[in-house]
Amino acid sequence: MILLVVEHFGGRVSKSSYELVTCARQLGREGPIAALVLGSSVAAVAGEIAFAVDQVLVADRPELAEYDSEIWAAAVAQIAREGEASTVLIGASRSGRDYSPRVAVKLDAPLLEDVISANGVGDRITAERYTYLARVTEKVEAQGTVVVTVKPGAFAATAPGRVAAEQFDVDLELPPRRVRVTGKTSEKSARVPLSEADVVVSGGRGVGSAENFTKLVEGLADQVGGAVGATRAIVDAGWRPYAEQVGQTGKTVQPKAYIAIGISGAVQHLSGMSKSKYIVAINKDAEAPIFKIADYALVGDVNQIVPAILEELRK
Amino acid sequence: MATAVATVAAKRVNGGSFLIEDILPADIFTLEDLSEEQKQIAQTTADFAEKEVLANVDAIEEKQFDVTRGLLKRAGDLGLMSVDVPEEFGGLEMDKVTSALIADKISVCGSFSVAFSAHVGIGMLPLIWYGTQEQKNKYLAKLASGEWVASYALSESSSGSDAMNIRTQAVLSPDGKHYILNGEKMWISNAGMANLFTVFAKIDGEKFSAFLIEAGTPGLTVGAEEHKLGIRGSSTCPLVLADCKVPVENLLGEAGNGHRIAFNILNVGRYKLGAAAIGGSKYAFRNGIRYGKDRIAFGKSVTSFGLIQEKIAESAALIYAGEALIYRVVGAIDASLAELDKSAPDITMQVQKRIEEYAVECSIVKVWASEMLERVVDHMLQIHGGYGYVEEFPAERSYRDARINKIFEGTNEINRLITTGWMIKRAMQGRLALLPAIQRVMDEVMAGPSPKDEHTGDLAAQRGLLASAKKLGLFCAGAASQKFGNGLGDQQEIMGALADIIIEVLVLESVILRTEKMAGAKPLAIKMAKYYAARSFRIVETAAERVLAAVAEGDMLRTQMTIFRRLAKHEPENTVLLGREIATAMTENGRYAF
Amino acid sequence: MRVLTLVRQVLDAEESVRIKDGAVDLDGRKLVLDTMDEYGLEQALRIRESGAEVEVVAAAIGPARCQDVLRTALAMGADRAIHVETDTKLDVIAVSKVMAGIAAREAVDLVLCGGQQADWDSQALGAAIAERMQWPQVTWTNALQLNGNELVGKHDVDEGSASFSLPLPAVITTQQGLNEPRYPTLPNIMKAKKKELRKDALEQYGATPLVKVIAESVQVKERLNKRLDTKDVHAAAAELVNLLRNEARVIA
Repeated sequence: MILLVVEHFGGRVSKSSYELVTCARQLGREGPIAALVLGSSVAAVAGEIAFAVDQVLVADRPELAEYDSEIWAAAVAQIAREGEASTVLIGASRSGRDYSPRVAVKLDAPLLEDVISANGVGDRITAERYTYLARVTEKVEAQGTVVVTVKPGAFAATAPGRVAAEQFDVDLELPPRRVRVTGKTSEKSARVPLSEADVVVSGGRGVGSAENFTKLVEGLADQVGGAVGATRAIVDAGWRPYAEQVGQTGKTVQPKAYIAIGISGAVQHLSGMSKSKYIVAINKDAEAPIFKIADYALVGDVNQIVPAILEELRK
Repeated sequence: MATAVATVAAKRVNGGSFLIEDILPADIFTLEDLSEEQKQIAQTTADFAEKEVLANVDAIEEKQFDVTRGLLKRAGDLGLMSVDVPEEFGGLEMDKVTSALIADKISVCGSFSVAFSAHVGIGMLPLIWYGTQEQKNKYLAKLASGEWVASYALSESSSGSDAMNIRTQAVLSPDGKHYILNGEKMWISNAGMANLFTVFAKIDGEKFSAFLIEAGTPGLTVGAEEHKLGIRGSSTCPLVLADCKVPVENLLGEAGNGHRIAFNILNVGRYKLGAAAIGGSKYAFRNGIRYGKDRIAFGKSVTSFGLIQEKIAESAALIYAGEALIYRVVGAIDASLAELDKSAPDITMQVQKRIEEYAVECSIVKVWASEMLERVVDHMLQIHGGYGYVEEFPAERSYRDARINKIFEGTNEINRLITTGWMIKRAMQGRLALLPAIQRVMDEVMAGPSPKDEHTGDLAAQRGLLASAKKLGLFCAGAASQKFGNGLGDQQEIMGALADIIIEVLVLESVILRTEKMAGAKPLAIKMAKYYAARSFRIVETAAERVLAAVAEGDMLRTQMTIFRRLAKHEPENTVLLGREIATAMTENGRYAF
Repeated sequence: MRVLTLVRQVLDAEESVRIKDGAVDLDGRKLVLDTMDEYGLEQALRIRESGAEVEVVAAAIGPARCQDVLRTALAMGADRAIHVETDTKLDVIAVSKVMAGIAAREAVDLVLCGGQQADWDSQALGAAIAERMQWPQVTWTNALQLNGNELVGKHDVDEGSASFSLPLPAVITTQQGLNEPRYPTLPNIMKAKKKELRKDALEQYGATPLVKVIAESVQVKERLNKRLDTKDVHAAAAELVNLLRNEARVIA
C-alpha cells in the first residue's frame, strides 16, 4: 500500500492532504492508497478524505488530540509495517518534517524530503527537491520502502470523487508522551493562511513602522483577499508575529502573486517566495536584489505607490 | 611568548637590500602563508567590521562618539586591540602580520579605521614601548580593552612635516613635582573622545619629550571638531595647553628622547596605513562591481564595457600588488623580530631598532598604498556614474575618506624623500652595499650592449622587466649622484623620481615573488601580475627619463639615453586583453577574489 | 554533563551557486559554519556558562576542509572536536547514523543541531538522531534553558509557538532567535590550538547512503522584469492593477 498521513485542522482536511493523493497516484507503485487519520474527534475528517483514497485508517483517541513527534512516528511506522507500505507520504509541514525522519529510521528506509515532484519506475522513486536555499533543484533517487515528505503547493490537489472508501479503525501501541507542552500561543488570523493564499502581500523594513505596515500591507491584503507576509527583520523587530514570516526560517510560499513592499530581497527571504508565479516589487532602492526576480517592478516611495494602488483597486 | 602564528617565517633580509639583491619566492611571506589562527583572526575582524561597524556607519559619520567608543569597546572585547600588548598586561603579544591583517579587515569604514588605528597604533605604542611599569599598570589594560581611548598629539599649527620644530613648552615646577605645559596642538585624532593623550613638548625649549596627560587635567582644553573633507566620523581637534600641570611621573621615556618615540612610531603607522588602504580598496571595489553588474546601459551590464573593465582590471591588479607588497614587508619585519629574545630587559628598544631597519620599506608602503587607494576609489566612483556623486551610495564616502592618506603619517613628499634619502644615507654609513651595486651597473652599461639575462617560467618577461628596473634605478641613482654629489638631497624632484623607481622595484618584485610562490592553479594571479608589471614599468621608464634629462645634457645625455633605451627595451603585453579577462573574472566573483 | 553540537560546513549565503558537470561546485567558494548550527553551539556554550558542569563537543562529517568549521567551533569555545573525515556524500538519514554513533560513544546527554540548514535545506537530522538514540526531540527551538535535568523553552509549531519542557537526554534543533552567536575572540582562537580535534573513520559507524543525488541544476525562473514608470504614481498604480488583472490574472 501507499500510506499517506492526513493533515487536518478544525475538523476539515487540509488542502495539503489532497496534494498527497495526487503525488501518490503519480508514483506508479502498486497497491491501494490508504489515508491514515490520527487525532481526536476526527470522524468528519475521515469521512471527508474517504472520497479521495482507496482506504481510510482511523485512530480516533483523546491521546491524539495534541501532536507529538514520538507518538506520530510510532503510529505511522506501525501502520506502515502492518500494511507493508511501500511508500509513506507525509505533508512537509512543520510537524510533518518533525516526525517523518523518525519514521524513516524506524522503517530503516530512505527519506526524500520536501519533494516537489516524484515518479516511480519499478522499485525506484525519483524525486526533485530544492536545496541551497531554494536556488538549486536536486534530483534524487531511492529504492525500496521510502518515506517521502511533500512540499505544500507543489502538487495539484486531487478533487474528491463520488465514492467513499471503507474506513477501518486501527489499534495503536503508543509510546508515552515525553515532551510536555506547557503553553501555546496560536496566531490565528481571520485571513486566508499563507500556505493556501493565491495572493500574498508582504512587507519589510522599507515599510517604515508597524503602524505603516498595518496601513499599507494589511490594507492591500484585505483589499485583494490575500494573506499577509513579513520579512525576518521586521518579525525580529516585533512589528509582526512569527507566523507571518516568509523565508528560510519561516514559511515557504508559492502563491499566484507575491507583492513585496519595502523588501530588499535577502537570499534567505527569497528562498521562501522565489517560486511564486508572479512577483511584484515596490521599493525605493533601485538596486535592491528583489528587483532581479520581479515580474513587475515599481521603484519609488511605498507611501505614495501603495495608497495609489489601493485607490485604483477601490474604483 | 605564547602566541601563534606565523609557522611560515620569511627569510631574514636587510632593509633596503631589495634594490641590490634578488631573493627567492620561498623567502617572502605572502597572504597564502597565513596560519589557521591568522585566518580565523582575520575572519573575526571581518565579521565584526561588516556586521557591527558597517551597520553603524551613519552614526559614526555623524560624530556620535558614544557609538564609536562602544565599537572600540567591542573590538577590545574581541581582543583586537591586544595584539601588540605584552602578555604581562593581558595582551596577546602577537606578530605584526596579524596586526596588519586586523588593520586590513577592519577598514570598511575610513572614520572607524582611523579611530581604531590612532588608538591602537600611535595611541598605545608609545606607552607600550616607553612606559614605566607603573605607567603601564595604570593605563595599558584600560586602553587594550577599549574602556579608555588614546590620542597622540605631536603636530602643531605651524609644524607638521617639520615635527622637530614644535613650540609647545614644558618647564619643571619649582617644587619639582609637575611639568607645566604651554602650547597648542593641531589635527589630533580621537581628541574629542580620548581619555589619555601622549603630548610632545620641549622641556626648557630644547629637550624634545613626551608626556602622558589624562583628559580633564586642568589646563588641557580640547578644541572644536574640524569640519573635514573625509573621515568625518574620526574626531579631529586642536588642543590647547595653558599652564597644564602634568605630574612628573607622567613623563614618558627620558627627557630629551621624545624624538625617538615620534620617529619609531611612524614606521609602524606607515605599514598599517598600507594594510588599511588594502582593506578600504577591497570594500570600494566590491561596491563598484555590485553597482556595475546591476546597472544596465544600452541593454548590457555596465561591467561589460571595455572602458569600465579597464578600471576594474587596474583596481584588481593594484589590490593584488598591494597585498603582495604589504605582507612581504611586514613578514620581513616579523622574521627579524622573531630572532629577538623576548625576555631581554631592553626588548622594546630592540624591537624598534629592528623595525627601523625597514624604514625605507615602510615609507614605500605608505606612499604606494595611499596612491593606490586613490586610484581605486576614483575608478569605483566613476563606475557609479552620477550615483557615485551622491551620498546614497558608499562610493563617495570611500572617495572622500581616501584623500587623507597622502597627507598624514608623513606626507607622501616626505616619504619619497625618505625612500631615496635613507637608501643613500645607509650607503654612506656602510649599512647597504649600494655604491658597489651602482658601480657594477655603471660599468656594465658603459661597456656596451650585453646579452640579455635568460628568465624562465610564466613570468619570464616580467622578471626581465624587474631586472631592468633595478638596473635603471641604480643607473639613474649613480648618474644623479655623479652630477650633484652631496647636494642631491636638495634636488627634491630628482629624489622623488628616484623614489618612484625604487618603489616600483619593491612592489613589482613582491608581485612576481608572490605569484611564483603560489601553489595550485593561479591563472588569474598570473594575469594580474602581468598587468601590474606593464603599468609598473611605464612608471619606471617615465621617472628614469626625467632623472636623466635633469642630470645630463648634450653628448652625456645622448649616451645615457642610449643606455636607457637598451635597458628599457621590451615587448609589451596585450594589457587590453588581460584587462578584459581580469575584469570578467572579478565581476563574476562579485568582489575581489581569485 | 556532555553536550554534542553538530556543525556543518556550507556555502556562505552571500555566495552565488555555481554548477559544474551537473553538480554544485564548491571549489574556491566561501564556506562557513552553518548559522543554524552556530545557534546550537552558542546555546551549548551558554548552558556551560550558566554554571553547569558541561563539556561541549563539536562534531562534523565531511571532507578534509570541514576541519575549518571544527576549528571555528573550538575557537568559539567548544572543548574538543571530532571529525569523521570522508568524501562520500551521505544523505541525512545516513549521517544521523554516524552522529548517533558518536553521541552514544561519547555518552552525551544532549544533542544540539541546526534546524533548516543552508545547503541541503533539510530539517531531518535532529529528528533522525533522536529516533536512533530513542530520545525525545524538540525542533525549531527559539528559547532554551537547562534546569537541573530538565530542558524548558519555546519552539515554533504549525500555527504559532508553544512552550515545552522535557527531561534529558534529548535532541534539540535550533531556530533563528535562539541566541546571537559570539565571534571567536582572539584569545580563544589562540587557546583553540591546544584543543583536541580527533579524526574518526566513517567505517567505525557503518553508515551507507540510502539516497543518491543524480543531478543538481540551477533553474532561474524567467521573470518579466517589467519596470513601471513611477513618475506619476497614479498612472503606475493603474498600470499595475491592469497587469495583475489581465496579464497575470491573479486578481478579479
